[in-house]
Amino acid sequence: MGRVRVGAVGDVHLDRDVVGRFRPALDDVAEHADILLLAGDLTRHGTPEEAECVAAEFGGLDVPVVAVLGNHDYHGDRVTEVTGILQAAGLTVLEGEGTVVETQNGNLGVAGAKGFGGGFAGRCATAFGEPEMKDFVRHTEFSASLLTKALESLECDVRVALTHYSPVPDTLQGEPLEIYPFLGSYLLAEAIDAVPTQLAIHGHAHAGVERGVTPGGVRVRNVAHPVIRQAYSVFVIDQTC
Amino acid sequence: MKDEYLLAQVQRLLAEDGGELGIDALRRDDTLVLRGEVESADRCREVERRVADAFPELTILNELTVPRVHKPQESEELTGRPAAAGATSEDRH
Ligand SMILES: [Fe+2]
Ligand SMILES: [Fe+2]
Repeated sequence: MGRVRVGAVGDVHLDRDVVGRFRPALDDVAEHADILLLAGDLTRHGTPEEAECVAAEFGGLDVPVVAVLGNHDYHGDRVTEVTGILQAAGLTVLEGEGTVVETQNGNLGVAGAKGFGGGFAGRCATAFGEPEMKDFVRHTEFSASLLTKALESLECDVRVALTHYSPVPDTLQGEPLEIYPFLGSYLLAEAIDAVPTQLAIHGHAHAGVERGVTPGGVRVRNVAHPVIRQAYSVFVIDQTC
Repeated sequence: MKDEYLLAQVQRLLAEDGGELGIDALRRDDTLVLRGEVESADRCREVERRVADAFPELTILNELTVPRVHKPQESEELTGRPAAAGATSEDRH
């Protein structure tokens, strides 16, 4: 078992005005990474036209591309079409599923789910009161349960969790405290900590910071494009599950 | 209009009509300063135009930036547990 190189970026928010901007940095991605993860908010409004832009920009690369969707990708209410367009371009789109990619240095498993908000332990929303409030919290609970299921399903050397929303408050520093409940949920961290995981990747927090850690000690990296300020970041994992 | 209502209107206008979230607006006298990140120069101009159209009485100071898209110049080595060794950056390429 050797070193697996994970490339990752989120929040590229593609539309026609961005197509071609990332591509020059992606053409030799295999020299830098064994896989490229996309941490949601691939589009601006979640339209099929924007999904075609994602397909053009991230399709046909020489490493496998594995994505989750973000809140922007849900805005147009056309998730099935958007997902289909990305899949037709060769991307793997995860929502409560896992996928294993064989690399020269071992099998890398990625479990993906969009996640949702709700906030963090001691300050979190609870499923109490109005139906709208219960629905909000239950969507997060459901998403976290999908992530657990996906992580458990993986048989691999290295396990990575991929979400759009953040599992920890650490990577939100720089965001206004008042919006933390819309940026992530501790339930995602709890799901990640329940299964041996080497790395948790997320996006969504454009004004946050790169590094954090779950209560269970799993490294968390916010790869939102405005945070990393490069085409993608690379993480080299040198340990086994 | 009270500043707070104005800033809330700007934020909702940009998010709900334009899909741009996380743009910071702050008012200095008759000037509205826009700060944050957008993914293209087109969007930078578009955001300014939307706000200028909605609030013609204000001068817009556009401080939006577009994050770069260069190749990674280094990778982060993840070895051991975070509590122990910690992470180091090193240039692999
Ligand atoms: Fe985003
Ligand atoms: Fe987002």
